[in-house]
Amino acid sequence: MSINRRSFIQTAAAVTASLATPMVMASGKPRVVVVGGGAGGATVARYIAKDSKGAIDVTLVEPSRTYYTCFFSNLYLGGFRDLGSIAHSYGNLASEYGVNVVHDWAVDIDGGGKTVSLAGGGTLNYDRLVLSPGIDFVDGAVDGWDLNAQNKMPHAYKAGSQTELLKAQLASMPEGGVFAMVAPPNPYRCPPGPYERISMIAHMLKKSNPTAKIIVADPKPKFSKMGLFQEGWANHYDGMIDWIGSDFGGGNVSVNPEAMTVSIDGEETKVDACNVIPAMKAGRICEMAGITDGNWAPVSAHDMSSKVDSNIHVLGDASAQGDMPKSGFSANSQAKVAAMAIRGALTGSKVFPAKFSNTCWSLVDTNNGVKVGATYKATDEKIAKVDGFISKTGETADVRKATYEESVGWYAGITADMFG
Amino acid sequence: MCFRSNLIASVFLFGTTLNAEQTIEKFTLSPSILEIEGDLAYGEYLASDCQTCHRADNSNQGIPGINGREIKEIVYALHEYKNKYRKNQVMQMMAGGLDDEEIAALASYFASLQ
Repeated sequence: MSINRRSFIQTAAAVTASLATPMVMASGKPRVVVVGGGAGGATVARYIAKDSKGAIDVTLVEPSRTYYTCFFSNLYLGGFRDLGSIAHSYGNLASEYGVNVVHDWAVDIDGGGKTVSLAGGGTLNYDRLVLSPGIDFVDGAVDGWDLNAQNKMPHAYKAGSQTELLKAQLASMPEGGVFAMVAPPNPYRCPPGPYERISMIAHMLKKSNPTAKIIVADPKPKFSKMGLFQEGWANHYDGMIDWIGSDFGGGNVSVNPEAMTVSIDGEETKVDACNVIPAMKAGRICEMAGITDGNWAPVSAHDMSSKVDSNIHVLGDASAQGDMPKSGFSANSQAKVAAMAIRGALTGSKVFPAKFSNTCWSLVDTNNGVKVGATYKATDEKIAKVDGFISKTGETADVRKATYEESVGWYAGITADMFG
Repeated sequence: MCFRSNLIASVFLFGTTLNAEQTIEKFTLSPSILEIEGDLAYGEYLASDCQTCHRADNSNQGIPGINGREIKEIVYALHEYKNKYRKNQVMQMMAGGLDDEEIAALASYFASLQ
C-alpha cells in the first residue's frame, strides 16, 4: 500500500489526537538533543533512553571524551583519590542505552527551527532540547585575571587539566610558601567546594610543607557549612589558614599573574600558587539560545523548561530555578524530573509531580566528612525547599567517618546513575 | 525484619529526646498502612531519586543495594527513618518527604527488582 506524505501526516495527527499524545513526529521517532554530558546531561540522556525503551532518539553533545567530575576533584587535590578515579567515559551510554554520543561543541541554537549547530559543521534537529552546559566565568570578575592567565593562576573549577595543574603548582611551592585562593561570589557551582578545597590543600600541605600558609580572599561574609569548616580548620590546620571575608576587605581583590601577587584590600602579597575562582554564569550556549536573564537561565520548577522557550529544558548549574544549590546532586535530581516530563510530552507517558533532593558531602580531613542536604518541591514560582539538615559541630569521629564513607558510596552511585 | 525492639543511643522520637541506654517501644505500623497497594509506575519515578545513591545494579560500594527486598521490610524501614527511629540524616530527610502512598509505591517497585 502506498501512502503519500500528506495523508500520512493527517493520519498521524488523528492518531496523536485520539491518544491525547502531545507530540509524535510524523517523520519518525521524536528526537531529544542534550548539550553537556555532566551530572545533568548524562543523567537525562540515560533516563530518557532507558525509560522510553527506544521510542525516543537521544543525542548527547559533549566535547570531552573523558569526563572528570568536579565533585571529588578536591579529594584528588588532597591525595585521597587519583585522577583516574574521577574520570568517566560515555561508552556505556552509547553501547548499553543507545544514546548517540557526539563529541563536538554546540555553537548555536535556533529555537524557531529547532536545530543545534555544531563546531564541526553538522546540524542536529530536535523536538526537545536539554541544555546542561554547567558554568562559564564572568569576564572581568577578578581584576587582573582572565582566561589567558589560567595557567599561572588556575581556576580548577572545571575538573581535569586545570585540577592537575593546580595540584602540580601546590606540590612545587617552596617550604613555608604562600597559597592564595580568590573565592567566588554567590551564586556559584558547589557552594562548599572552595572550602572543601581549602581543607584538602591544607591536608596536603600539612604533610608535605607544614610551614606553608593559606590565604582566602572571599567576597562573601559567610559561606556554606562555615561553622563546620572553621571548626575543622581550627582542629586540624590551626594557624595555617587565614580566611578574609568581605567584612575585612576580602571582596576588594586584584591579582597580577605575571608577578604572582595578590592584593587584598590594598595589601599586596607575593604568592607561590594561586587559585582564582571567578564569578560564574550559565554556560555560554544558554546565551546563544537566547534563554538567559542576567547570568542564568530561568526555568519552570515543574519540568525544568526554559521560561523563554518551553521546548528547551535547562539543568543544573546553568539554570535559575529557586532554592536548590548548584551541585552535581541537584543537576542529577533535576534531570530525572526533566526526563519524565520530556517523555510525557513526546510519548504520552505518565507524568508525576516533580520532587527534588540534594545532599552535598565535604571532606575536612581524613575520615572527617560533613554534609548538608534538603528536599524540594515544585511551585509555580520556583523550586522551593521543603526540609533539610546539616551536620553538627562537635560530632564524634565515628559519625564523621560514617559520613565520609557514605560520600564514597554516593560517588559510586551517582556516577553509575549518570554514565550507566 | 530490620526494626529493633530496643533502640540504644540517642534518638529523637515524637518530640522527645531519649538519652543513651534508654529504650523505646517497638516500632509498629498499623495494618492500614501495610495494606496500601503501591503504584509501581509512581514507585519507579520516585525510586530514581533513591538510585542516585542506591545503585541500580544492587552492589554495595558504601551504600547498600535495596533491590528485591520484601515490601514490608522496605515500608518499615522508610517509616522508621521518617519517624526518626533509625539514624541517618539523609534517609530521615528523604523518608520525611514521603507520604504513606509514596512509601508503598517505592516498596513495591524496589521489591520487584532483582
